[in-house]
Amino acid sequence: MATELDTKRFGWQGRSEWVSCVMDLRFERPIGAIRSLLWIVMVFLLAGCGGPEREIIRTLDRLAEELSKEGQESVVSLVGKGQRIGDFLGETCEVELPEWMMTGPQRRQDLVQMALGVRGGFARFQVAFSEVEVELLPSGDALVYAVVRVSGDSEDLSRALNRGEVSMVMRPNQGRWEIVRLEPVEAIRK
Amino acid sequence: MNDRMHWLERFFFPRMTRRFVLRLLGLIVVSFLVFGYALIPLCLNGKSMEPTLRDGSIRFCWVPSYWMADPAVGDVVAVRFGGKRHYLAKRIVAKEGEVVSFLNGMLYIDGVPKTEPYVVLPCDWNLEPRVVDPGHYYVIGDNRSVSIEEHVFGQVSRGRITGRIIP
Repeated sequence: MATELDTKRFGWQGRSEWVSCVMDLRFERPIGAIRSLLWIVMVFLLAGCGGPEREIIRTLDRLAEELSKEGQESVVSLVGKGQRIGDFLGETCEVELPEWMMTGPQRRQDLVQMALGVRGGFARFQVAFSEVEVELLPSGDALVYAVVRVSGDSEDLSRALNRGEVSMVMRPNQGRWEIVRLEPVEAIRK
Repeated sequence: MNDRMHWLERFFFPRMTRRFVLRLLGLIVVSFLVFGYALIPLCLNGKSMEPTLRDGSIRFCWVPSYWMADPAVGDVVAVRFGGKRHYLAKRIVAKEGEVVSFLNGMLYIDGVPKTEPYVVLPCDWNLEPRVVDPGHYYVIGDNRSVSIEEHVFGQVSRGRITGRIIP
């Protein structure tokens, strides 16, 4: 009986879930509204789970984890760390870091060595990528823009300006995304 | 007394009527739009704009100020830096095509010394002349008592200038 009345009042019969949700949000049927909202949230979550964009974001999260340093590292762990960082880089990676005297293609092992050298200068720090934007190119590569933030317990790393934007080109290789080009985005130039 | 208590009770523990919920939702949406896109609150961290803007103070960036007009020399602006929610507070000192240089702490624009009443602290900077690129503005902080290497300044693209900081 109640269903019949509802149908007459709101004409829900035959309407889509979206319309039903909008009608429910009029607080006539709160349980129905909650159920519909849950459906919509689940659809959005499922839509956001897959795809190359998600894979790239997850790759960058793992890279940030590997680049971060929790404390003193033994030689063995350092070797393992270097190998894992190298997995995120292409065989040759084009790097544009004029301030570090690095421009053009660089070998993976050189970049790993440099990364390990920089890490050695600090006792503890965390790296995080945020605001990741991915643009898939027709070639199959992905143009990735991200904000990289380095924080730590030393004075140098606790400065508010210790963040920057980077532009990367990532290429799929055997199910993994590798960085083949890395360039910082200059926000301000003297 | 009872009326007052009743009013206070209604203020702090309002009845969740449909009208109240709709008003609350409206307020949340309007606040999100205003403070997220038009009047952005900024918590200043650093001394590069002293004494104009104090370290630790809270200011607002008025974004619509540059929707219809271009930034002008002398404006104190918020420059997007390292993401969408991190800004530098700086003053515009030169526009595109102008030549910027420092000699013994004095700012020169196109070779002409510029009087800057807002620069109160002593400055001894020296900087080779450089031309501001097309579509760019040259921004510097008002506190130039720190060394030139430590001070973050330079040219920024128009797209990074988010809005004017309300003094």
